[in-house]
Amino acid sequence: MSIIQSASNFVKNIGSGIMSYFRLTPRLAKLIGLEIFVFGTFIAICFVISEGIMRIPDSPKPGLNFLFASLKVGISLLLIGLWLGVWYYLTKRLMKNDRQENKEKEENE
Amino acid sequence: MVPSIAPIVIYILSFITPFIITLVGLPLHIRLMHKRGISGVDIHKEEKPKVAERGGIVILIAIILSSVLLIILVNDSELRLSIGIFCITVTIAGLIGLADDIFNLSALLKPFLLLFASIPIIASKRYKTKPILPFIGETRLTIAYIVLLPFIVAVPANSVNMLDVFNGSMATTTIIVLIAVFFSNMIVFGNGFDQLDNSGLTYVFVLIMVGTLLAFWIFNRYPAKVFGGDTGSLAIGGALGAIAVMGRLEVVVIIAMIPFIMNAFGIIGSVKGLLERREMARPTKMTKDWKIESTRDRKAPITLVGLVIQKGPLHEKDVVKTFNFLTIVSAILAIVIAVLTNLSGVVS
Repeated sequence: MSIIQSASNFVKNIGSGIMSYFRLTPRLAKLIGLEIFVFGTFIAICFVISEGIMRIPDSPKPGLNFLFASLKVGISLLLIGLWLGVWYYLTKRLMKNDRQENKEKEENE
Repeated sequence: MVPSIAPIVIYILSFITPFIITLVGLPLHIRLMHKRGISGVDIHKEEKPKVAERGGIVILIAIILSSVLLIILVNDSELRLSIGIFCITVTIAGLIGLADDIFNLSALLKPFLLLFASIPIIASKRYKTKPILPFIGETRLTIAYIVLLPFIVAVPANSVNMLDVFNGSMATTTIIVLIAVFFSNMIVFGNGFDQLDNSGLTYVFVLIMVGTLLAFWIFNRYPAKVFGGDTGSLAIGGALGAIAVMGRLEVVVIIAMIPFIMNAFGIIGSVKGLLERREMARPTKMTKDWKIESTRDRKAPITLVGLVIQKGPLHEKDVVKTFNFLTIVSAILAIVIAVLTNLSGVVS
């Protein structure tokens, strides 16, 4: 086999390998959607923390300053916790919905 | 005294050493396991082949030996300590996995013990309580970070363990995550390969893991000749956690591991707590043409596999491809996070 043939076979194999991945995408649409949602909400939370919570000014009074600092950390952690909670809830819901669809499909059959 | 070695040589050795050790060690391990009758049946194949178990032992040996070699070659005592701490953390996680492989630890004891894997990192202060977030930059989480640190190692370890269900799935997906971490480190800290400092060490850790996993994949890919077992999956997951903490790339690792975490969420949510794989009903069964389909058992955990085979049965190789595809998407998103962090110009 010539080098050109081997190279063309190699490229064909890579091409069909990539195509086999893309053939699977319809099955993964919901999951990819959830991935992007998780990513998007995380970015949004970071933006809110950066432009909102971090803008709370420092106070010259030490006691008040401590209160402000704890408030900043507390709210930020709460938002991150909320993000994790929503992620957990949506994953569970998505998987339960799919199980319901499966059950209905089975009953129809 | 070892003469100073160029960083690029250290990087090359970080990849080649574990690769060769795993490549040479696994055939010997497979023979030994078959001889001693330590093998499991691959239930996803028609001929039900017996496959050697506990391949994770070789993974662990490769990581330990490579780390020892690098400790000898690196001249800086701080870097030596960091490599040693990484090695000890991975070893603890791997040994917990080995104990599980041998004694079948309970579903609660295993994650509980994994919380202790981070003790070397905490004791040696190989962490910064300032995780880096996009737009925000370095945050100060002095107390909260130390409280959360054990989970940053234990959660990836358990998540990788939960997704290690098909031939080659663990190796390929974790390699994708590690590649994302490699590029993110480059983007966030702007390092080249001309010097070996703390963020350069992240490259070293990633290369050790990729070298090991690549050689492991050769034997674990479809049709598998060896299973990694809990020793392998917990060691690799523990390593990801250690890289996240020591490399200050916690957010990047979390985003790159979205499919792993989703799978863990699904399982924990559906069985309402932590249960061992052997205590749960099987979520999948084989069709007549040896494809994987859902058992539709209501008691079975809801897993990522269950979701991808919902629209019809799939061949084992295709299921692994879907895992890879999802991990590639999350890896790209992780790199976007790194770019946003860099654009914010907030890393000192």
